Amino acid sequence: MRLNCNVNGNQLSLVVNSDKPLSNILKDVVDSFPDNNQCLGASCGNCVVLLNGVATLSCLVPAFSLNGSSILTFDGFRKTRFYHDIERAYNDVGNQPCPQCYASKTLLIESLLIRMDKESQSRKDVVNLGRSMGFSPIPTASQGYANEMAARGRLGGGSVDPQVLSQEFSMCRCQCIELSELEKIVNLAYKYRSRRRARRT
Amino acid sequence: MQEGLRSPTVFNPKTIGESVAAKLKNPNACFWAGGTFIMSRPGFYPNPSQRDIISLKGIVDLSKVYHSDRFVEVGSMVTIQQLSNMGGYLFSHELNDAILSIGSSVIRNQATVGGALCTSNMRFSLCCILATLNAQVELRMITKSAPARWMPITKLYDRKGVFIYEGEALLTKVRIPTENKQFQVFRSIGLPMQKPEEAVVFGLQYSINQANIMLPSMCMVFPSSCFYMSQDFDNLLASINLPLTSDKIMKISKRLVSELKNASLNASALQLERASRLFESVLSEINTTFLAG
Ligand SMILES: Cc1cc2nc3c(=O)[nH]c(=O)nc-3n(C[C@H](O)[C@H](O)[C@H](O)COP(=O)(O)OP(=O)(O)OC[C@H]3O[C@@H](n4cnc5c(N)ncnc54)[C@H](O)[C@@H]3O)c2cc1C
Ligand code: FES
Repeated sequence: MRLNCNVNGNQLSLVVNSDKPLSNILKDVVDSFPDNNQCLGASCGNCVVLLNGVATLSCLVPAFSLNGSSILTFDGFRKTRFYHDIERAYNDVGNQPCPQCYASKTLLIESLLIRMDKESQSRKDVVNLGRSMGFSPIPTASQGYANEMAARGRLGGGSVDPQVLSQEFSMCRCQCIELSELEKIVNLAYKYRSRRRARRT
Repeated sequence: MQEGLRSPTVFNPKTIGESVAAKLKNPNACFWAGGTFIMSRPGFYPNPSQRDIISLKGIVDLSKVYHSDRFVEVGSMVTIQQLSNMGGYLFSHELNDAILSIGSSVIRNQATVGGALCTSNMRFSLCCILATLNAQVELRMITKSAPARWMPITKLYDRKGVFIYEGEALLTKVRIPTENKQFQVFRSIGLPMQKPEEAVVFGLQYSINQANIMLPSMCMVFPSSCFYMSQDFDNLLASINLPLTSDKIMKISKRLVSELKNASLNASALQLERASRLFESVLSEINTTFLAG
């Protein structure tokens, strides 16, 4: 099949098997993409990419679902200004993930920052998302969910709830960095990003 | 493209009827929901005998959610993360925490409710959770008239946990009761996906009235070898008078283990030990709750 997608800012048009995993495609088109990503669902995390801004295991995404999507590997991400927010937070906290999981944890942090950003900009987004997912019959329920999460301070309050954080990172079995430190890193990176945005506007 | 490898044809039906028709025409094609299970099977790619694919993503009806006072009805393509998002508001904390403990959020964003219930020979946490809640599913049979059939989740599996309707039906909806009993307990030990031969998943809901356990509903799952839910055992739990002595706890736990052994010849010793300890600790908790009034 012909696959048109954007990888690290480059528009690509490839001929691939419809069931070829994205991780295999990336091995062919991105030089630095890790080779050790054949864990068969063992959830090693080596293959994490941002697929349309969401952290995704690329070994579990088939080519046929990728047309028109935007894919960012760690190599592409580290060239963006968003990476510097996280890098700065690593430096300030004085710790960072080990070399084995630096890329995957950094992309997971970025995915979380994008999610926090969306939640804080408008709680209404949750309701709209609910509608677009088809649960228009219960706008009150999704609104209620949004309010409850906000009330519990899990999302959108400018700092991440430790429970949400531990869920996001439950995939990572490497304990090179503690959750409490990750929490500080996420909150700091979020602060830097918000400040930068405020300066620009 | 891998040399000599055929690229599977991908069908993109827009309605449930079209997907049933596609399956009728191509009996070897497989339904594709989130793909997390299919793609994590050994030898998935490259695979010269890869089956064609019927992608369920474009079927809007399968992503709908409907909510009434007594139940939530979710389409089979609702992701586990979406289920937990709604659950934060509609379900008990115990239930929502159990859903949130499935895999990691990266997996939950992609894995669907239908996919979790229809994996061929592995039973995961969601099956156990929804069976405990006595959820019902709607199946569309793969025949010309594609009749719809509602049934309890337990009827989908044999005692070993094998999905009986593989290739014979499309799961379209799941109806989850929200009027739940007073107490819910969901536990999982080990990693169901990565180490299925060691993991144990358990669910129990019940109420307590005076000194009795009322309307218990219990499910125990060993991911690769056993799906256990028994009306007889539920009746045994309902006949218990609280508080329980430690002797009585041991006796009931031994009975459970012997039933699990009968149900699954492949259960590992570790799983049986874990199941018995887990069950004993739950019975002790019930005792404590009762004694605390
Ligand atoms: C890394 C990893 C970790 C995991 N950890 C956990 C865990 O901790 N706990 C847990 O419970 N689970 C866990 N899982 C399993 C996960 O829950 C399942 O892989 C997932 O639910 C399958 O859903 P899916 O939508 O991706 O299904 P798919 O992979 O798309 O499909 C699975 C099967 O169901 C069939 N199917 C799909 N939809 C339908 C339908 N509507 N009607 C009929 N047949 C259908 C498909 O043909 C296929 O055979 C994990 C999975 C992975 C990859
Ligand atoms: S290769 Fe290990 S999770 Fe994708």
